[in-house]
Amino acid sequence: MTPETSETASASPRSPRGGSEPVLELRGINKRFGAVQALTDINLSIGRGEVVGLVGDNGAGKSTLIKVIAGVHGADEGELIIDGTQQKFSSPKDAQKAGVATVFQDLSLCENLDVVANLFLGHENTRGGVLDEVSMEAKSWELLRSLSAKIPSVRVPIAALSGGQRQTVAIARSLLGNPSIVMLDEPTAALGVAQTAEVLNLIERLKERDLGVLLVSHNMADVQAVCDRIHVLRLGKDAGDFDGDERTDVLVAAITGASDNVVTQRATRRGERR
Amino acid sequence: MTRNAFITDERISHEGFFATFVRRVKEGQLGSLPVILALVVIVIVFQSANSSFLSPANLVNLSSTVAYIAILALGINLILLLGEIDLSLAQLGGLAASLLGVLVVRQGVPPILALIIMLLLGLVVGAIQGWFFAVIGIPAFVVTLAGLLAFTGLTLTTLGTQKNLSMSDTFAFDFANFYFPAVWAYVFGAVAIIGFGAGIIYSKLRRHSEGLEAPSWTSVTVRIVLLFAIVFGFLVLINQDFGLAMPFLLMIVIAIVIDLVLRKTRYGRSIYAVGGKVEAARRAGIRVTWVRISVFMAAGTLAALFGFIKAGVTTNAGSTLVPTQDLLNAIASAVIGGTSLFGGRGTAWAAVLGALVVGSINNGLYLIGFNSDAQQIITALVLLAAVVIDALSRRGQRYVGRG
Repeated sequence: MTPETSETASASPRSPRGGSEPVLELRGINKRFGAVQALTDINLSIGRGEVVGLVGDNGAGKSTLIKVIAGVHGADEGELIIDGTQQKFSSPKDAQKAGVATVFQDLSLCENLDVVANLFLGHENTRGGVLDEVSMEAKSWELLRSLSAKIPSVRVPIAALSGGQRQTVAIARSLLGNPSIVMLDEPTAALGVAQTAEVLNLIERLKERDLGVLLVSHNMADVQAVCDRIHVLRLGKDAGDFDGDERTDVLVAAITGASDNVVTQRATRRGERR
Repeated sequence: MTRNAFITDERISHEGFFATFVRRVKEGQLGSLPVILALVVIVIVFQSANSSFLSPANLVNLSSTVAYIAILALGINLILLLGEIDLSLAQLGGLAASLLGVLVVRQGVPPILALIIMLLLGLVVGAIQGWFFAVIGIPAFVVTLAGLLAFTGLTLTTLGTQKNLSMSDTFAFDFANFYFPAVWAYVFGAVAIIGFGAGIIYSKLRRHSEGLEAPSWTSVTVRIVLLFAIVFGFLVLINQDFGLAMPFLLMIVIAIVIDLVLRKTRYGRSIYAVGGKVEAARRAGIRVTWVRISVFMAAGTLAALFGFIKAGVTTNAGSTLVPTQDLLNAIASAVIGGTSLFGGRGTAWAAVLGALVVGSINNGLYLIGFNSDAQQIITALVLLAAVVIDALSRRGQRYVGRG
């Protein structure tokens, strides 16, 4: 894993890297649930081939924001612009059509079906009404190879794969609709060290494909490892937009809203150690 | 092996044929092999205990019994693939058969019309039970338990004061006791083998041309020759007696149709997906409610057909047509054949192979002089063994591939 230190250092907050046109732009998003103001005036943009981390404490509004972008909830106010077109999603299907792919935390894979069946579930190729297994299998290999994924066989049931391999299949599945932006909700939760590295490598592959990636994670190390920018939410509001290699104590301070906590104390004791 | 050479995991070692086999035994990925082995053992045991087991007359008799068990089992098999259970199917078949008998024998309704009415009854009842389960959200177990009781009562109501109803000399009897001339039986056998052979050869050639891993010519040839030997061996034997019975052919045709739908269509794939993980299926855009209701409708129709065939074979459409063990035999057939009780795993042929096992055990025990009590106990033990294998193979599968 090579952090993109040289490129991101000069990037100014809230604008995508390299001045390219953003694939996703949120302007002043507001979302209320009854008396609860879940999101207040959220501004966020993601450029082509840019990985943006979305971090925040529990209840900070990460899930709500993801669901607004994915079309699960409609925003009460604000603009959602994808590929330069303003969008108003009334269902997750609309969002998918507009090019938003979401990989949810609880993997939406059927353990009893094999890799090919899962990749194409709901969108199977057919020839004269009959499933075209050959073309689907060929496409599966092509896709997995382009992601350098380590899957022993595309004909094993998902139940026989490791957590990292399952996450790989789930992410590969989201790419079949040719999205322009991929949102990953806690993709490394409950994964081991090697498997986490595998998934982080995969995120680099997505970046190389010029996709915009929004990575939601609790794990600061993962976010810092792959993200070009890190966007912090606190209590439903923007709490800062940082470079991908920002120091952990600064991020934690932004997330918690307090500059005095054990993380900052230790950082101070160790004196700027990174 | 060309495409996947790029991305294989260094942790995956390439192993020989025998090692693969041993691994698959441990992982529970054997498909139909255990049940076929069990069937071979059963045949050898009964044949050595009583040499009339494989006699043409007994095989013809057995083929009709297996036919109606398997048709009911094919219906239950579909429900099991969804991960649900239907306790009412056998009684639904009994109700449909009684309705048919009353319409034809007592009311003089034209046979075809009566048959359509009984099949529609199965379809509609399946839709109603499926609706209660899929839309209202009542567990299928409870809905169909209520159905079981209701259909038993409705059967008695339909029959009125006279609870016995003979189906001899009706079209149901004629249908169930129609035997094809030997030539026709061979033609059907040849068509089945040519269809199967053409299918796997076409698939092999296409996979090869796309650069995918394809089965070797040896394995293709072995499979075709094996099927040929089994089909024609069976046909030659039964043709020495009455020959191929209509119910058995009907069962094979239904099994082929269900097998193709399950393996080759998007609808079939969606059944497996719903049986595997409902939430994933829903997110993939599958209409879960419709899949569930339609499967209950298909199972209801198959149950009615089971009633029709059983009424014809046993010449009975009265209240005694469907004893309780019919349902259990059918569930046992599907599970013994390798369909998982936990949903999402199994094939159409599981029901047929399992019905062959259950039918052979009952028939063989009867031949060597056991009474029906012993038959039930032994079928129960076989069912238990099959469920244990199912549970263990699930556990085995969970241990595989964790790196």
